[in-house]
Amino acid sequence: MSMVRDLSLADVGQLKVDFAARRMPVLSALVERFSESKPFIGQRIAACLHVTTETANMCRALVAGGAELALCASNPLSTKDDVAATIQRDIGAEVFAIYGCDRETFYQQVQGVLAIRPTIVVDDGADLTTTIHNDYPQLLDEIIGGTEVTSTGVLRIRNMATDGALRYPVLPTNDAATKHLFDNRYGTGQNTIDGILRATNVLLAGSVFVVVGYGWCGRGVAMRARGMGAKVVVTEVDPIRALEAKLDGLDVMTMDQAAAVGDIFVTVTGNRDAITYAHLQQMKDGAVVCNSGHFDVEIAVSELQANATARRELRPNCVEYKLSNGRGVILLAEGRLVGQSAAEAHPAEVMDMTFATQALGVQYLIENAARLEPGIVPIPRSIENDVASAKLRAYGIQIDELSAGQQQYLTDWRVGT
Amino acid sequence: MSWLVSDPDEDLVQRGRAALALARSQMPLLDGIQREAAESRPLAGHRLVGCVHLTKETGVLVQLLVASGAEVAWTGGDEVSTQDEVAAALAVEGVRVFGRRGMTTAEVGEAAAEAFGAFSDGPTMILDNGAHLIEMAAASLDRHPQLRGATEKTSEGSRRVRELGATIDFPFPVVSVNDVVTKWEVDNTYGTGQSTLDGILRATGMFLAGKRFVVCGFGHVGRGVALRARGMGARVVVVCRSAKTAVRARLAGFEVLPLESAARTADIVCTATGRPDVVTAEHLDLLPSGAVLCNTGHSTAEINLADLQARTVSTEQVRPHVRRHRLDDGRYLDLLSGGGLVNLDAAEGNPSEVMDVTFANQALVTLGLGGRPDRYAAGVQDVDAAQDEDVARRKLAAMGVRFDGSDQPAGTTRGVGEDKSA
Repeated sequence: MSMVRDLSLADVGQLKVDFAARRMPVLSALVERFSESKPFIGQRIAACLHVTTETANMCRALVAGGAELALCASNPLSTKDDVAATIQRDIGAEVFAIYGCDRETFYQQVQGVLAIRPTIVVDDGADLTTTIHNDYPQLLDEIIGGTEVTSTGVLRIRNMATDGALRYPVLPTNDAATKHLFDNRYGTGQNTIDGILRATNVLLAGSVFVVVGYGWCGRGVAMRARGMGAKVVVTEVDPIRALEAKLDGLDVMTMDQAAAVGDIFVTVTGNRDAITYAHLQQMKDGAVVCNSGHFDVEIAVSELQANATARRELRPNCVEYKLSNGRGVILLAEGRLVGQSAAEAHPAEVMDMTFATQALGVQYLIENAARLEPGIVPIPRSIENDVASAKLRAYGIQIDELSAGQQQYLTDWRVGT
Repeated sequence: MSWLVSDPDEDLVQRGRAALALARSQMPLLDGIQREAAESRPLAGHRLVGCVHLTKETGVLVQLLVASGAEVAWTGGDEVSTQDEVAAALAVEGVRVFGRRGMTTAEVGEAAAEAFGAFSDGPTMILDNGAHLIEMAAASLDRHPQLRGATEKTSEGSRRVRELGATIDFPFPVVSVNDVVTKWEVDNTYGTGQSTLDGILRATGMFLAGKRFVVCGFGHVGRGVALRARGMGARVVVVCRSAKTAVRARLAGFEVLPLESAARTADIVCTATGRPDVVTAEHLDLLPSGAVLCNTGHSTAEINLADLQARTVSTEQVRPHVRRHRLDDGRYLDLLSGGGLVNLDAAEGNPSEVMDVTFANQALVTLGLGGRPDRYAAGVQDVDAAQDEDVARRKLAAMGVRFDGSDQPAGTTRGVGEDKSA
């Protein structure tokens, strides 16, 4: 009943998954820990994630812990068919993911995963969570809790909680420092640059590189673009973040101003309409536009496609649209996540921390099921410290501890000037 | 048989034209120079033979030469880099193209010889990449009194040309277009710096932030690789043999170490020296298991592959450009692109806008040799500072950048050519 492109791709996929495992020491340690303690016995986990080598390694940890697992793709363009095949054949999850499938098949895959009657929901973008609440309320009674890994998904689930619609406890993995400080900043930072290079092979040195949004992802993209020699411009709607960008040494301006001067644009806002059709019309001939925010709503793609006088695929993931003003705009990966689509999703080292945080979160939900109420559950500090300490150990780095005197100083209000 | 491309498939021609148009849109300098030269036609009456990898970017250079009035014969000088669609599009424009993608080394030589002999009266001008044609000319100077000039683009070819110049009196100018700020700064430092990181990322998909990244060599290429690796968050260590280079690296904020110290903790070692045997047995024995080895210098000999092979008990291809060597002591090392150029093999080499600047230098010298032959004396020489400045100004104008000398006539501002020691 699984849906994968071709099981015979599993041999190739397995090599890639093992290659990634070498760079995921924290998660690999969890696989060992869970194989002994079996914290997930009796649990049925429905997961909706990018089907990549790193996800495969988290699947390994969950299955090692005794879970019955079903996995579907959170984005049809990020699925690696060979990896999907090995998760199905070698790791033993039911997989529903085919690269580039259409919208209808995509939702069939979500249904396929829900057939497991989950007790735990592991989500990426909140599609599974919202589908369950809207279309499969009969499943809610058996669900102990869920986790959500992205900023965008956490925002959606917070909105559900505010509306009183959320019916089980959700651990927002994205809120963990061991997730957003590293995955969003360094992971998205690197793989956005990687995706742009693979899709275009343009020279970044000396280019005007516009980062739309200065959240954790935007900070990372801006840092790496500057590291590659670009002149970085930031646009923001939040005064504090705009000020931070300014004092980080970057140019801050409005999107209207940036549109006319940029060579390359990356949207990382988590909101819709960050680059409108009016902005696209102001751009220089040959401007490159792409998105590294979760959904493909940040750039006015459909308006661009509807109004373009010509469309030309220059390279894979790289399409030029001619506008009526005679200029061309180059859109990467159809406005979907450029790193996931044109490069290879996040590097294993980063997902190591994200997925270790996620897996420990699942364990926490199960262990505390009795006392957790429906709603957003704060990430326990112990999980963050556990993951960060394990990562430092893997790097072979030692750090200092507070002395008794220092600890006392921090808790004593009597010492002052 | 002849390697001349004739009657190419129409579909191939169309694809070639599209590729050339795409490259041209990213090559504003060549496009601008072509528009000027199409008016003055400084190469009218000249017969030019060129030997440069026949990519779409090279194709734009060839179109410029044709527009400047020259009759042109071309060959790629390489086994695999000729793009047949580009060859086809140029062939129907009247260029005599010799060779195709997928030739043996011997066939590459045959095609080059055919190109050199393409004109019954012999060539008047040579445009070279690796000194293949210049060597042919040097061996038959008495039979080619019609030759008026030659240019050479690579470091390796320029070295060879200087060697030849030490024993042969070339009766025409032979200009090395390598040792110019606008060539090495744009091409070697920033072009190869970026494409090397790009190659490592495409080959491995590895996370660079926090990695111990050892760069061997801190010349133009090594400096570019070090800058870009640091920009991606790596902890960069520079290894080099020259005291002056080492002090420059240290003051740029890089850690400088002997390779035998750096190797002990390296996550990645990238060679960029232009010398053989940089990474040898003694270093291979020190590297931690899982270290990545790659090269972006000209030759495949920078990492001593025989030493690596001698310690290898088995290998497996873990990704398209990653060969994992399992060593006799239980460690493994990942070799990228077989120790060849990782930026060309795993990534795409230099972006079009980089080749634009490099070729602008070579094109301007060639046009000058045709239109203003008195500017150059006979014999081997470098590009002069005035042309270097001209190219820099053209690049700034194309980027829309104004500077304090923008409004002053060329040649009156401080020439970038003075910065050669940088």
